[in-house]
Amino acid sequence: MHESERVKALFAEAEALHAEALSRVDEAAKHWDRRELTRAAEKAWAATLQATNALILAHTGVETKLNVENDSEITSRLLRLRPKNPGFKHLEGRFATQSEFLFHLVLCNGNLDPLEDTIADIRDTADFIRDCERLAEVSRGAHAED
Amino acid sequence: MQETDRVAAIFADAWGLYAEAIEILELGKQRIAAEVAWGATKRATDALILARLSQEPGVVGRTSGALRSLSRSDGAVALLLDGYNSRARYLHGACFYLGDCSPENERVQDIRETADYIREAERLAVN
Repeated sequence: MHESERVKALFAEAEALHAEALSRVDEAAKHWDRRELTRAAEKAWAATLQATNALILAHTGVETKLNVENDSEITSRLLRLRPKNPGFKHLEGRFATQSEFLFHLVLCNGNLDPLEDTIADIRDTADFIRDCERLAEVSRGAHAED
Repeated sequence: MQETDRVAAIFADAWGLYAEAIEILELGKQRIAAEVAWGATKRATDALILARLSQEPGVVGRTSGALRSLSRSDGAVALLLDGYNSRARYLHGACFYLGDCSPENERVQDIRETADYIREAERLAVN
């Protein structure tokens, strides 16, 4: 598969994961179902990782093997992109926030409270994916010049 | 102590830690400087939360949780939240705990730019 097609496929996968997270949130919110909300957070975190993976691939030509339980490799690759575009620094912060609340707090520590904030974090993952897509467009040009 | 005096005292502590971080950085001890800069970040955030929510967070988990709650009603705080989590992860977790301060230039920049973070927290504290 051509690299740009693979980038599109990874973004499509991120969006599909987030769509699944949203449907689980809607279900969870009806009954304040904490188990369903945890599953939604897991999908939103996977969507975050996959969107970041697509962005890194667009910029460097390298696809990262994802591990939802250990984001150190993808984080390290993301950090190395900072000098190339100021937008990456902002995204680094967004990624750290997603990691702190969806991964560490909810998935590692089982802490969903306050539920309203966890639901908002899951929903806000859409903004993160969009920012990755925008930066990937910028990146594609930069990568072509490398 | 009045709450406003306490807020000012915590911000002063944050600035004191920041000055110390820069001194340590100039001695070439980046890993220790990262941790002191993280301490300055935490203190400035505590002062902001005390000013806006009338609660002093204490332990780290409560700081990030309170900052997240505050960010839901104030978009400017949302940007600060990302800066907070980024510093927690890269200065405190990666650089100090794990000894991974790479890329070095970026971590040095993060340490120095902690001054911007404290200034922004001060600005948001009076909003």
